[in-house]
Amino acid sequence: MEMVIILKSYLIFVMAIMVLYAVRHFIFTLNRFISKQRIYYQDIVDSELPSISVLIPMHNEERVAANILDLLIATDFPGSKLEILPINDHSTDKTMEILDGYASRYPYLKPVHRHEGRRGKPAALNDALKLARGEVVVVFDADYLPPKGILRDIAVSFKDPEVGAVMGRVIPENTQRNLLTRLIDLERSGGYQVDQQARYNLRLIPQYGGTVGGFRREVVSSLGGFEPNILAEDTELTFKLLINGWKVVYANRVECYEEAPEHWNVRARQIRRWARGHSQVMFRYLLPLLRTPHLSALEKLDGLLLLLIYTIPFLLLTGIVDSLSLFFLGEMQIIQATAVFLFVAAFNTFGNFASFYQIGTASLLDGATQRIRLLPLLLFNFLFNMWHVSLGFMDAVIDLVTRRKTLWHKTVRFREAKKDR
Amino acid sequence: MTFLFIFLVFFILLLIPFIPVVVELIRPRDALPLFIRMDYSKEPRYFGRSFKGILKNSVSADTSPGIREVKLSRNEKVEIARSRRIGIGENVDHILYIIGDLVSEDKARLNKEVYVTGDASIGSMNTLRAIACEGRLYLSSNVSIARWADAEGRVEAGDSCDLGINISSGNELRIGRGCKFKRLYGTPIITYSFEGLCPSNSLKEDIFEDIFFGVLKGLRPFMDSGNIDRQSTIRAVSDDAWIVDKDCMTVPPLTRVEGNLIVKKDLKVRNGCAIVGSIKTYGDLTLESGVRISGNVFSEGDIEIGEYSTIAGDIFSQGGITIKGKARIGSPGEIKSVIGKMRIRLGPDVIIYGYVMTEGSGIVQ
Repeated sequence: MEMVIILKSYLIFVMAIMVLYAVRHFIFTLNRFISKQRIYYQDIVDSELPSISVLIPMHNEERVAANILDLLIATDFPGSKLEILPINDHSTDKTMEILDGYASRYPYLKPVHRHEGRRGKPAALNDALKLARGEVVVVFDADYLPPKGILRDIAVSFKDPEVGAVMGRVIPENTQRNLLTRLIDLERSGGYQVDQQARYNLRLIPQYGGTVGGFRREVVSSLGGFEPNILAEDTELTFKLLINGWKVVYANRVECYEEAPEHWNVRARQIRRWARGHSQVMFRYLLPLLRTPHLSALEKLDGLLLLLIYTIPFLLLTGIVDSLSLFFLGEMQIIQATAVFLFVAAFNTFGNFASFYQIGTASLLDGATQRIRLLPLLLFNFLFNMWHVSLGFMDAVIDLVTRRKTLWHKTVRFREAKKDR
Repeated sequence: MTFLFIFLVFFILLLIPFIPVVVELIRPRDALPLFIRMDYSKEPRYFGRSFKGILKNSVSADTSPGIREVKLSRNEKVEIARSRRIGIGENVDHILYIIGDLVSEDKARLNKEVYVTGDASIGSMNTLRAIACEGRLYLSSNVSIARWADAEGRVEAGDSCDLGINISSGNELRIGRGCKFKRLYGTPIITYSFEGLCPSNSLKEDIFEDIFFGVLKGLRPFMDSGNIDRQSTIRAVSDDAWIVDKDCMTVPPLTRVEGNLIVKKDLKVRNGCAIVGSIKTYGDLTLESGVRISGNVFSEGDIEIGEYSTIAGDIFSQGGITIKGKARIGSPGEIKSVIGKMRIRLGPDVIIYGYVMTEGSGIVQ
């Protein structure tokens, strides 16, 4: 009998959490539809821009390295204030030769070759931070395709004395490849066009995403750089900055193409790594977040919900197991009125990563209304995410308990390598 | 039987949302990636330069006078003339390509774009769609521009003009009283003066030359100002930045602040203060007269800049910006910006080195 009460209580708890996230997503969606929008700083024209170092972590990136380097060389950022530091992180393919080839032609392109020490993005960034000379560090993943004016648009945000980091918008360039890439495209739209912009509008916590973004070099160095064992260095940086009084801003018009994973197993590994890293950050920064004097109560609430976001699928998964157990025990009669409300509301959160209404609204704002016909398929995508996020969360719990060393799994690339470099 | 029927209805209803899915998967109508313009680069004079490039390419080497059809974004009639005078009330419904000077008399309507290789003088109460000019551009009073105007040389707009969505100059941009605007660009932008036009040599002075080395010495340091309760309201986030939580903070007259000041509510900076750093406020920001700031000014609320104030950096507001008479923004040889989301009001004899932009309404008062 006691077990049944525990199961029922847990089910109500899970549904209440779901409702909380549903309300959060709904507020964000309404904000994008009907509220005053804050503008980003891209309209500022300034002849005095901070110097920048562009860091591109690369582990076996021969397929994509030339694309991003060519585009960065073609940007309109003043050459005298720009250095590009591609980081060859223990590559065993032709990445090193490609980078050295570019370095011989462009003196401001200075490859960092890492053959020793720990592999992985955080460790690679730490090494490059020691060599970088720019006031601002801009980071791109190797598969990204930065447009001509993007460095200027990122750099200008640091005119605001409070900004510690800035995040741009990621758009998949291979959407038409298959069903997975189309679903990822929908998730990305909801996540950036609605979720990030609404958090920026509401002066909550937009998240630095580790690519298409930048941060103040000296600030991050003084805060100790990146923890090599954490697999979500971007989330870690976001909370480290916030807790120490800096802000992260979101730039919706600073758009950059990425290559979305084209295979479900690659996507599964990517999601699992994100969930694991994000949960590691949650364990480390939850209490400091609540204690910091630099954030308002609303910011703390948003930060809390953001930190917990990769915990929710695990809670929901266990909630489903819980409800099945109660069903087969014949104990589904919970407090009736409350349950009806919670069931309906919780149903609406199905897929809390990028709820249907956020994605629908994002597609509308992007003027891409036909693609929302795929929305029902997000149901299956959510089930897929829920499983792999739950595995990632469990990984993080084991990391916390055992203090084991993590290993960075690079996302596989699918693009054909550029021939004429 | 009833159970089977209910199950069937449920199953059909469950499948209905997947019909559009199947249609989209079989015949994709929206599978391409969202468009990013990869060659986009911020250019305050984009309209004029882009139009000139397109028109010159289309007309090519044949610039003999006459009207001809030219393929631009679509087929357009283009009149090529050595110089042109547009009469009172004349209506021109084709593109003008003037190799020389253009003069229009009052109340003319130029309903298509105009390109002038020399100078252009636009009469009072004219209506223009857009004009690009290699020389100087003079707009008489009450001229209305629907789209944009750009000139390599100096641009002067008389009183009460509607300056469209963008007006820019490769040189000085002078604007009269009552002019409405969205975007301005000039090196510098100068608003009308009650004392006549500003002599050009006065613009060459370095407006910040002695502020932080001479005047600063006579000002009282911020932390000695008496009315600041440092313990309860100010937190240092780094060696050169403070965060202030107080509801409304006032920096007393003739005070110097060395460092960035981030105020979570309203901030008033009294007469004659100097800030060696930048300011960010979550509420409204009021700078009284004669305030000098070496850095940038950012605000979530409205910004009011007092007379004779000088700001070396950019000004950015999510609300409105009012710049009162004789204020100076930026300095010669540099480009700075004044961005006010909701509105911008410029007083007389204001000089801004660079760019002004608002999504709302801009007016010279």
